[in-house]
Amino acid sequence: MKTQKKRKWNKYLTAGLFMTGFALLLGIVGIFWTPYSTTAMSAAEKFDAPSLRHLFGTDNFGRDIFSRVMEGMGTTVVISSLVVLFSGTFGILLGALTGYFGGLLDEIVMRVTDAVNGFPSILLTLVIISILGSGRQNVILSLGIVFIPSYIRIVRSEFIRLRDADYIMRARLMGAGRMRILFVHILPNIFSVFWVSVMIGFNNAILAESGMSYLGIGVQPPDASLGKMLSDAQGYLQTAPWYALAPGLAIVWVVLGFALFGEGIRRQKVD
Amino acid sequence: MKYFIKKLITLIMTLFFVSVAAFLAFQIIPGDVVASILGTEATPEREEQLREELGLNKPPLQRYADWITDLLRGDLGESYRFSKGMNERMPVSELIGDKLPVTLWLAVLSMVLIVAVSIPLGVFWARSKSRFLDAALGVITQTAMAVPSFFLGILVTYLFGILLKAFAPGGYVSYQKDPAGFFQYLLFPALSIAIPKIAMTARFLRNSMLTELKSDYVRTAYSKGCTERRVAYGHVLRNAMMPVITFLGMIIAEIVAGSIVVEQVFGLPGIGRLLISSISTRDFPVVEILILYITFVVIFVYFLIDILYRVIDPRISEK
Amino acid sequence: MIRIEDLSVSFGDTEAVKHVSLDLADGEILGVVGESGSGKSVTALTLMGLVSDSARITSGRVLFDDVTLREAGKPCDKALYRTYQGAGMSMVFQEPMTSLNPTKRVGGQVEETLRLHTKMTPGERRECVLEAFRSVGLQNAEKVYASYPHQLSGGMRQRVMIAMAVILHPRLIVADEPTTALDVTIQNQIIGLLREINQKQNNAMLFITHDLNLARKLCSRIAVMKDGEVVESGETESIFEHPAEAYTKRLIEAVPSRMKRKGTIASGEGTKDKTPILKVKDLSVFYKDGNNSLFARKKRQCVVAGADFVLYEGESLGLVGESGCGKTSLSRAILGMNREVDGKIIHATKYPQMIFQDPYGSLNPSKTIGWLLMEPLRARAALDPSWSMTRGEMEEAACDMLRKVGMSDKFFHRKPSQLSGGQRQRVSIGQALITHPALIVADEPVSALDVTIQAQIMELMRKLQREMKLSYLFISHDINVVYQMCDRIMVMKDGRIIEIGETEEIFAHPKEEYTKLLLGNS
Repeated sequence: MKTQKKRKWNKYLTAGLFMTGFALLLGIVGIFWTPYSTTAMSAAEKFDAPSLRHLFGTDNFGRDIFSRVMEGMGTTVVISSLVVLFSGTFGILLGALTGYFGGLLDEIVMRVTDAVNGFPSILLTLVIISILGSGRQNVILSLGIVFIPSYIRIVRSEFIRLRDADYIMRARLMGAGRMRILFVHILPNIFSVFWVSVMIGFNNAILAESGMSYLGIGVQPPDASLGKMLSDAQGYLQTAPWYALAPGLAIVWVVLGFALFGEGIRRQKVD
Repeated sequence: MKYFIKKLITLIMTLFFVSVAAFLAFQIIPGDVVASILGTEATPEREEQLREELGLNKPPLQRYADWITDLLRGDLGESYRFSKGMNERMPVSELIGDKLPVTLWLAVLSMVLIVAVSIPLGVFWARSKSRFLDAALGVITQTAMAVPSFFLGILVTYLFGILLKAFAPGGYVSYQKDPAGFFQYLLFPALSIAIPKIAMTARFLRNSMLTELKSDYVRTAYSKGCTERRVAYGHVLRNAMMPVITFLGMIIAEIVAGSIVVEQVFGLPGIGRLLISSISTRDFPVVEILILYITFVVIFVYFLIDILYRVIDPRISEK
Repeated sequence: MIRIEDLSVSFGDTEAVKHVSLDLADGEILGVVGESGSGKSVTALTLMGLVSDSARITSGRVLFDDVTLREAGKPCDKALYRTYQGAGMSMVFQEPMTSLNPTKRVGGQVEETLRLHTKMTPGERRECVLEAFRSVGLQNAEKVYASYPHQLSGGMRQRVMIAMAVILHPRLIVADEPTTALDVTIQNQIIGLLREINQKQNNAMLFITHDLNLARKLCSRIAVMKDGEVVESGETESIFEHPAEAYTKRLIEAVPSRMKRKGTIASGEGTKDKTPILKVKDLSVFYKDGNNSLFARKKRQCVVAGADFVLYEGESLGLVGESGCGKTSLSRAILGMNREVDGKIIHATKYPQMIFQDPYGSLNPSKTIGWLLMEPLRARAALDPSWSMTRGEMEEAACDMLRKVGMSDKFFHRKPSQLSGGQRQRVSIGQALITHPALIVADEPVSALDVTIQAQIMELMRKLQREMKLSYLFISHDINVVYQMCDRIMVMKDGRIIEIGETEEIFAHPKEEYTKLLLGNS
C-alpha cells in the first residue's frame, strides 16, 4: 500500500507564513518609517476613534496608534529574533553534546535544565533583570538565558533517540569522526523537530517580552513596546477601548502566526 | 517507598540549591543597597549603622548560614523597605501573610476552571465526528492560545467589567470582609489565566485520545463487541489522561507566572505584585523568600503529580 | 458458513482488496498467505467489521450463515456487527503486547467479553475466565487474572488473547499472524493450541500468515494473495505439490528450506589450512544496567559468557538463537561497539562492517544514496591518506557499487524514502562493502523482508561473497536461512554457544537437546 507521497503545502503553513510575514514586514518597516511621527503630540486629535486618517485611532496624547504599533512590532521582532538566535544556538550545542555523549556534563546540564524548566520562566527573567537592570540588551540576554533549557531538552532527546540508530552505528563503524557524526550525520535529521520548537520559541519570546514591558521592567523609553502601550491604554479602557485593542491584537496576530507556522511544519513532517 | 524517599531527597536538594542561588544572586548585584535605601539622607555614619543593623557587614557565607537557620526556625527575616510602626522593620512573614491567600486562591480557582472545562471539552472534541466542529474548535483554541494573559485580562475587564458590568474593575474586596465578593472578583482574573490553558489542555487531551484510539488494543476492544462509547470511556480515556496529568502539572508553573502578571492587571494585592515591587525597590529579603516559596510550591506539585502518576500507571509502579 | 463474495475494498484512490471470494465451513482452517501489502489483513479486518471508516466497500458482500454483514455501497452496520464480535466471531492479533490494554488487568479485559454478551453474575464471569485461562494452558490462572500485560511473557500474552477469543466458543476465529511476534519454540506451542481449540470447539478458522511453512502445517486449504487479489486457492498439499500460478511457485521456491540448499557454498575442504580472519577467545560480554544517574548503582550484567570460536577467510559462519540469547550483544562486541568485555577478540583485518536487519533504520534519511555510498570513502580517507580520492573517483566508485548490488545509477540522487525495502537493503549492503572490508557481520539481514525479496538478497550476498572474498558472520533466528547461507553454524542459548560445527553435520546429528528443538520447529 505504498503510495507516492506528495509534499502538500498545507493550509497551516500558508496561514502562518502570511501572518508572520505580514507582521515581520510591518515591524521591519516600522523600525525605519511610520506613517506619522510616534512622538508628535496633538491635543486636537486626542482619543480619535479609528478612521481612515488614523487606522487604529489616536491615544491620550493624540499620537497615531497605528504608527506606534508598527514601531512596537519592530522592537518585538528584533528582540525575539535575537533571543531565539541566542537560545537556539546554545540549545543546539549543549543539547547535541549532552544527548550524544551523556556522562557528567549531561547530568549537570539536565539537573539545571530541570530546575529551570520547572521554574516559572517569568520569575527567572525577573530575577535576572533585577540583577542586570532593565533595558533592551538585558531583556535579550535574560530571555535568551531563560529559554536555552527548552531547546536543550528537545535537541537532547532527539540526539538520544538517534545516537543508537542503525545508521549512526554504521557511521561509527566506518570510522567517521565524532563531530562529523554529531553535526553532519545526526543534526540534519532533527531539523524538522527543531524548527517547530523555534516557532514556539518565537512565541515565548514575544509573550515574555511584551509581558515584561507591561509590568514596566522590559525595554525602557524611548524604545517603543507593545506591552508598555497596553499598560498605558488600560487606564483609558472606558473612553478609548481601541487604544488597548490595537497593541493587544497585534500581539495575538503575530503569536498566532508563529503557532500556525510551527503546526504547519509539524504536519508537513508527519504526512 | 524507596522511590518516594529518593524523590523527597531530590526535592530538598533542589530547594537547597535554589536558596543558595537566590541568596548569591543578590550578592553580586552592582550598587550598594544601603546607599539606595537611605537615598539623599546618606552619610557615612548612617550607612555604617544601617549596614550593621541589616547584618551586611558580615561575610556572605556567614550571612547565608544565619539566614537559612533563621528560616528553618520560622523567622523569614525583615523587609528593607517596609516598616512597622515607627522604628521597626516589617517582618517578611507579616508582609506576605495576607497576600499569600489571594495568590493561592487565584491559582486554585484557575486550576479548577482549567480541569473542569478542558477535560470534558477535550473528550467531546476527540469523539465529535463533525468536520465543521472539529475545524471550529481548532481555530478557536489556536487563537485562545495566542492571547497573552495580560491582554486577556484587559479584554475580560472590558467585556465583563465595562460592557456587562458583572464586576467593578479595581473594586477588589478582601476575603475577610466579604468572602462572596472576594471570590466573585477573583473569578475574572482566574478566567484570564485559565482560558489559554484550557485551550492548550483540551487540544492536548484530544490529540492524546486520537493517538490512543489508533492503538492495537482499541481494535481488540472493538473485536469483543464494545461500543464506541465504551471504548472511549472504558479503555481510551484513562490511558490518554496520563500524559495530560503531566501536562497539567507543568501548567502549575505557568499559572504562577500568569498570576504575577494578572494580579497587576486586576489590581489584586497578591504576592505577584509584591514580588515585582520588591524587585524594583531592591527589597531583597522579600524577593528571596518569595522565590523560595514559589519554587517550593511548584516543586511540591510536581512531586505530587509524580506520585499520582505512579498510582495510576501500573507499568511504572512495577519497576 | 462464512462467505466473502467478490469483495473489493478501497482506501481513497488505492484499491487494497480486489474481487476476493473466500468461503469457510465449520471446523475448517483456511490459510490466507501473502506478502506484506497483499491485502490479506484488510480482508480479515473487513470480515470482522474492524476495518477503518475510511475504507469503502466497492463491490461484493460478507455473509455469516445467511446474514449479510457488510455489502458494497452501504455503511458498516456497527450495531449488527457488535452482536457477532466477540460472540459469533473473534480475532487473535499479531502483537499481543500492544493488543492488550496496558493499564488494565488482563482478567478484566477477558471478562469484558462476557460482560458484553452474557447475563452471568460477576462470580460466574470470573470462574468462566479462569476456566478459559486453564484451557489455553495458562498455569496459575488466578495470578494471571490479576496481572497487567507487561507482567506476562509474550507467549502468555498470546495465550490470554486466545482465551479472550475463544471464551464464548465463537463459530469463526480470525487469526492474523498470531505467531509472528513470538520466538520459534513458543510459536509451535501456540500453533498446537490453535489446532487443539479448532478440534475441540469445531470453529472455522481463518489463518493469515506470510509464512508458507506455517500455513502448510496448520491449514487444510490455502488461498494465496498478491496485490489485493487471490491468485490461487485450493487444498494445501495440492498447492504445494502442483502450484498452478507462477507467483505461487516463486513464493514456494523462495522459502528457505533444507531441501533446497544450493551447492554454491564455498567451503567443504575443511578449515585446517585456512587463514583465520577473526578469533574470539573466551569472550564474555557485559551490559551496563540502568541510566547514568548519579544515584543508580551500575549493575554489570553478563549477556554473553565464554564465547570461543574462529572465523576463517571466505567462510560464512552462522549464529542462531532466539531473541535475547545474546547473539546481537556478541556481534556488537566483535565490532567494538561494546567495550564491556572480558576475553580476547583478535581481528586479522581492520574496519569490519555490518549489515543491519531493518532496512528503514540503517540508512540516514536526510542524505542521498550517492552521499551515503561515498561517506565511507570520505571517512576512510580521513583516517588513512592512502584512501584519499577525488570527487570524480568517489562518484565512480559509488556508481560501481550500485551496479554491483544490482541497482542502476539513476538511484544516485534519490533519498532512502523513495526506495523499497529490498532496494534499501541493497544500498545498505553497498555501503558496507564499498571500503572492501574482509569481515561482514550480518545481523538478521533478511528477517524484515518479504520471502521473495529475502531470496534475492541472499543470492546477492552469496554472489558478492564470491566476488569480493568476504567472510560473513551471519546472525539469524531462522535456522533455515542460516542453513542456506552458511558453511558452519553456532547455536546460542542464554548467552552461551552450546554447539558449533559444519552445517550438514549439525542438521544431520544435532548433539544438544535445544538444537534438536530448534530444528524440530522449523
